[in-house]
Amino acid sequence: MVCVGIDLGTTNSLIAVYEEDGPRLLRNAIGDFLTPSVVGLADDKSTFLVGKTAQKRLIRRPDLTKALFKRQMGSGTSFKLGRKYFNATELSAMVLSSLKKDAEAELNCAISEAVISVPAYFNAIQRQATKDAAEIAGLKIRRLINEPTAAALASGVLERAEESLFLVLDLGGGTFDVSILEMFEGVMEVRSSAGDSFLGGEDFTMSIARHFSEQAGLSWSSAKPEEKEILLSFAERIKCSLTNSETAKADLELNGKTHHFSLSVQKFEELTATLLGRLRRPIEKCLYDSGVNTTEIERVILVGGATRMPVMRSMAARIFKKLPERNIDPDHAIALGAAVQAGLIDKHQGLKDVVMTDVSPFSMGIETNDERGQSTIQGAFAPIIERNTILPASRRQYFSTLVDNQKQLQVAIYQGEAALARDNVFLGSLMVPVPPKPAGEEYIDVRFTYDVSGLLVVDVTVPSTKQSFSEIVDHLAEAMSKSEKEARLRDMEKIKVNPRDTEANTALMESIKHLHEMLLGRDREYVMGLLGRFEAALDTQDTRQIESERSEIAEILAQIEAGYVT
Amino acid sequence: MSPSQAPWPWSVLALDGPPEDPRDIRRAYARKLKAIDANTDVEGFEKLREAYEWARMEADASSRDAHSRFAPAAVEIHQVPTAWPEPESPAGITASEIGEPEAEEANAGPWGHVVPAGGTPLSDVGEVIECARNLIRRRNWTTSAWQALMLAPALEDPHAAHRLEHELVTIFAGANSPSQQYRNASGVPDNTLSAPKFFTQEFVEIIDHRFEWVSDGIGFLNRYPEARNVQMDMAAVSRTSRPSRAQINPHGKPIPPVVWVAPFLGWLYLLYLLY
Repeated sequence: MVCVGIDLGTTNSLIAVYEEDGPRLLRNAIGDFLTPSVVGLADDKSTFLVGKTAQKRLIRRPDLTKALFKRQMGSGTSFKLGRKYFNATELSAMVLSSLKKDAEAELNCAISEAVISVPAYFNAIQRQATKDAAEIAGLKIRRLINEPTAAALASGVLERAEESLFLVLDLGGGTFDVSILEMFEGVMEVRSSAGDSFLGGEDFTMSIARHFSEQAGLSWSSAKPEEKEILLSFAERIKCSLTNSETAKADLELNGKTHHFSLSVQKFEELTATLLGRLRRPIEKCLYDSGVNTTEIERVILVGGATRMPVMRSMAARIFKKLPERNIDPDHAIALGAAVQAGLIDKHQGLKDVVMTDVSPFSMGIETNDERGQSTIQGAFAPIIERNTILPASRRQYFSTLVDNQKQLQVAIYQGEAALARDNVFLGSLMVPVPPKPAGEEYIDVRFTYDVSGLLVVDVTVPSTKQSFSEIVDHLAEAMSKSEKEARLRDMEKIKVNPRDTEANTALMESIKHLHEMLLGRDREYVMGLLGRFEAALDTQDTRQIESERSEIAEILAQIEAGYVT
Repeated sequence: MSPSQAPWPWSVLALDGPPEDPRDIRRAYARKLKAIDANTDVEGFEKLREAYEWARMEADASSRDAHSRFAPAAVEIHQVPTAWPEPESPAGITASEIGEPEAEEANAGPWGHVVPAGGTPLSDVGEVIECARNLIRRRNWTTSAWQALMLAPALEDPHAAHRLEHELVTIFAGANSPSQQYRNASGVPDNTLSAPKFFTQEFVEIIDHRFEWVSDGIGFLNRYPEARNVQMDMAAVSRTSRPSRAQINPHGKPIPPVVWVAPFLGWLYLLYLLY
């Protein structure tokens, strides 16, 4: 039985496995490590496309293609794809199922268990949705691992001997996480983590796209989906090219008009000042919660594709007064770390001396009425296990009755950081009967036990009657029911997915068409010619010829793309 | 003394007592941790963890007298100055305390330049705090002035940001309590400034985006346990309209078509009854 590690990202997803000589990434059907987290329908409106093939269709068929759905994980939002509606859980399940098939093809065995990474800041509902997605894809979740922890685990395992206190900045496509870790004697201890689940590289791309649309005299909010996708795809390229040059410029055709766009690093920093400002709070919070000073941090590690942005590097350098490091490809670190976690769970021989302890990313507690002097705050949240408590943890607190002859106490369980309980995520509740007595004389003992797998057990004891009550919160009310999941799993088996063996060809065709949309004039005609050339090769049905044409055309496309933004 | 006779917490870590090298505490903890399965033995882990944290605290306390964690520790409301210092003399802020921002600026050179926020290069935390005080005093501030202030390069340093937060909490907590009125520059109590009145929706949103006094209420109360009133006042304002940051809506399932049909059926039934 092989347990794999999966990075289910906002922009890209990856799958890796732990082997004798460490974690190893697995390639998808077209030979890439990165599978874009994009799901779409082919023109026949019944065949599902996942990954690069779907991604390349975003600008031409935004109605049939969906990206960035991770941001809606656990929310009620559904996306229209053709005639049907899908929520983020179902779309994620399709990405997971595609990754699963890739891994099965490469490892040549059935895969049914996985460790999946989630942003540290994902709340209980978002975590549950991720678990549901995995189950729909036919994967049993052994553990959900926090993304920055996974990233740190990957870098930590690679340099096992060292003793150090380090900070991981993880800016992915859609989420930002900060973690402080201490490593000693093979123990990887997460000291604290904080983050923003609505801040990522895609937001930086978005601010460039909005800037360009303004320059083109187009209002972003009234732009057509096709126009938005073209601008976003264009902005993404400009952003990437700004990582190693001071200015980037390129031409783009919008509504039949050709625009000359250019962007300097300085202008980019101005445009994203607010976004960069939002990176500050999680860093402060993480330092404060761990009681660590900026000067005590020995190393700063950057993870996540968006940390390639020079602004991100210089900001980290200014705050910590040391150059940040990147010892692994920032896109790969999380998946590799998830695979290490899978190896730890499987008690892999190579990881015998490694122990990892993580923290609770959020506080958990109950709703109370807080009496202070004359004022009573109704519905105050009393945390029992505070965020950044090392797991597993078991904590208890006592609560007393509020009015005379109170017959019962309601223990409403919440997760979150707001001072008022109702602003947090409701997890469940318990009714505890107590003997009637004057106010404050009767009390209950509430114990919270939270383990590494994310299981919360609430035990309530009434000392005077010696009665105990227990509630296990492992499944949220909003989560899918078992039968619902089984039905989705059956649906999943029925849907038609583009066959793996022709995936490379489909992906190339879509890449050519995508580039055709983005280019102008003679370049555009040239790319059209490539499409004809590849179609001719496909017609021969000669596998070898198709393959040689495919790699040749792919190289030409890569060159055109590289020279497109100057 | 053998480990078994050693006092707690050293006994749990199988140490004779406080070790010479404080790193030996971590090593002892690592050895013990590997011997248990923390995933299943929650109680065993809790005991080990408690002993370890206590041992580290004791070692820390003996190695340095004061625990200098994050610049000014918790705010003490009863020490609110009765009169605010003149703008020219921001008391208690020296360059050495805030990590010499000038030097930091110079260091930043090779890695990139500091983005000026709204044209005002507030590179010194003292200036930022002074600017905040002036804005509060003036009270006819614009939202963008506060926004620019929050993006000041000086506030990139977590230390500096904490100083500003501390300052703001002190002002609002003091302003709100009747015995310690907010005083204007000449030292005369200013009866018009009360925190609840000052907290407009925009202001609360800006403060919350930067310092999360409301959205991370638990964290705020840990930092400033005495300033609960400030938080409740802010929460009351933000309650009327939630911050624009995307909210998770667990119940927002797509409405099934039946709901839309239902009123029609009702009307049809009414028509049927009428005729």
